[in-house]
Amino acid sequence: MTVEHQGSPEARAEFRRFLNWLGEGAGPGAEKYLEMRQRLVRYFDRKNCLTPDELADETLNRVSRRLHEEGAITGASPAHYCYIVARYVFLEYRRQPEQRQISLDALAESGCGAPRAAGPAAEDQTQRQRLRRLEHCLRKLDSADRGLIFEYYRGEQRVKIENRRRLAARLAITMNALSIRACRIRQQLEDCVRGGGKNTTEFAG
Amino acid sequence: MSPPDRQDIDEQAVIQYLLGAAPEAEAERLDELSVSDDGFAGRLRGIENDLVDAYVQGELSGETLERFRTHYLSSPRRREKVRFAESFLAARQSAGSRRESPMGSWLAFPRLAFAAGACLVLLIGLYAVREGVRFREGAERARSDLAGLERRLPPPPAPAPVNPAPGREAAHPPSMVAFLLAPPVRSGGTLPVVTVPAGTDQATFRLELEADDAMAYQAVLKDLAASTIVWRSGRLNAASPDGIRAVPVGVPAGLLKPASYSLDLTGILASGAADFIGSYSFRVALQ
Repeated sequence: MTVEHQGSPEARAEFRRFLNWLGEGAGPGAEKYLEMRQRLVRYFDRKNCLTPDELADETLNRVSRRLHEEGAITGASPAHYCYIVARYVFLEYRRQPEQRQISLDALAESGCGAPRAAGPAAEDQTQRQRLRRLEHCLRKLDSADRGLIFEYYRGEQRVKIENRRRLAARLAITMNALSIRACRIRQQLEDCVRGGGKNTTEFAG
Repeated sequence: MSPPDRQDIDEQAVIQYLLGAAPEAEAERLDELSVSDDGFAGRLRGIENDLVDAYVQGELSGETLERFRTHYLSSPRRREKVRFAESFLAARQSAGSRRESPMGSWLAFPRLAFAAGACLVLLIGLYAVREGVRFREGAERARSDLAGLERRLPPPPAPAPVNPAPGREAAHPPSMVAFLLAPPVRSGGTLPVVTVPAGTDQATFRLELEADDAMAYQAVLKDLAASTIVWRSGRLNAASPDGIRAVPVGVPAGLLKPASYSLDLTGILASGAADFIGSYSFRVALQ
């Protein structure tokens, strides 16, 4: 997995250093970067911020700048330091005069709080397109992953839990490891469907 | 600031957090873990996926469902997750039904399948009656017209075959059958048996209502032995063209095997809240 960074050679070198720091010496850190960005986006989204992607990028930019300025960041793990900065970014965001945090009352008034009901024909059309993309993305998975994701989500409630236990035993992994694998495959599918089938980024540096 | 301890976090606490219902201090602790702790971040994602799936499969109820609607669905990103989960469920059902039915992924779109099936019913009705019926587009009209092809089931004291509606017999080969299921009774008892002839494309069940307080309805078909959801309807409306207030549910017949099923009916109230109406259980016999 690679991550794109376009800019001057110095900026690219700085970014590469940031990736190495995030990866804590275990490889180039691109995967860790994407994972951290996703965690931050979800964090800001759970806080009902209107622009979670922008805030996640702002957080990572600040961490990267700080690393560049200080030469090293000590006293906290990279992930924990990212959270500390994210919290500041969130507090600043909340203090902004335009109050960009969504209130549930405002949502209810604006009608944005719940999915807007489209006509049944339009809904079916969109659903059909999404399903077609998903089927395409599923075909792109290797057969072991495809089998695992279907098996992992088979059944409901107790039956589903029992299925997962059996699947973990069959694969000789823990339930936790199985859950992480299933989540990764599902995330891959979600990204693929959202991106219309494109789910890789290229490193230009 | 050091990362908080995550040993004592149970699944319910995580669900409360995802639904914006966790106490402030707990929410802050989980915020921190969600970014800084690899193990918790992974677990949070898994629980969130399961929560979204549970919503899509109609398994949430009460306050959890209410919080899901008012809090979780307030974010476009999270709504997108729900849409993905709907597609993912449809893809899984489609893959399952492809193994059992030549109808393939067509069955992944219940509303389309229902609408198309309803149109077929209309054509059969035209063939049988030959006069007085005019085709109009839209599932609403189709649903009303379905009623003319149905007959009411008496409450069965013992398993008894339920025959298809008389109107259907005029058409050949049979592609549609219709049944009316009485409101669920609290006490146990034998399940009514519905007989589905070979070659049937759609089985339409009219679920009789004791009261019609809801704006709309949704039905979920469950395989009782396997305890799995087989199919979900789209939004349904009650109708009473023959004086019996009932919700018509068109189920692709290819999904039905000789087994016991229930159609779980939920009403959607004017407030947006869901109200579970009851389980209409029956046994399928294939002819």
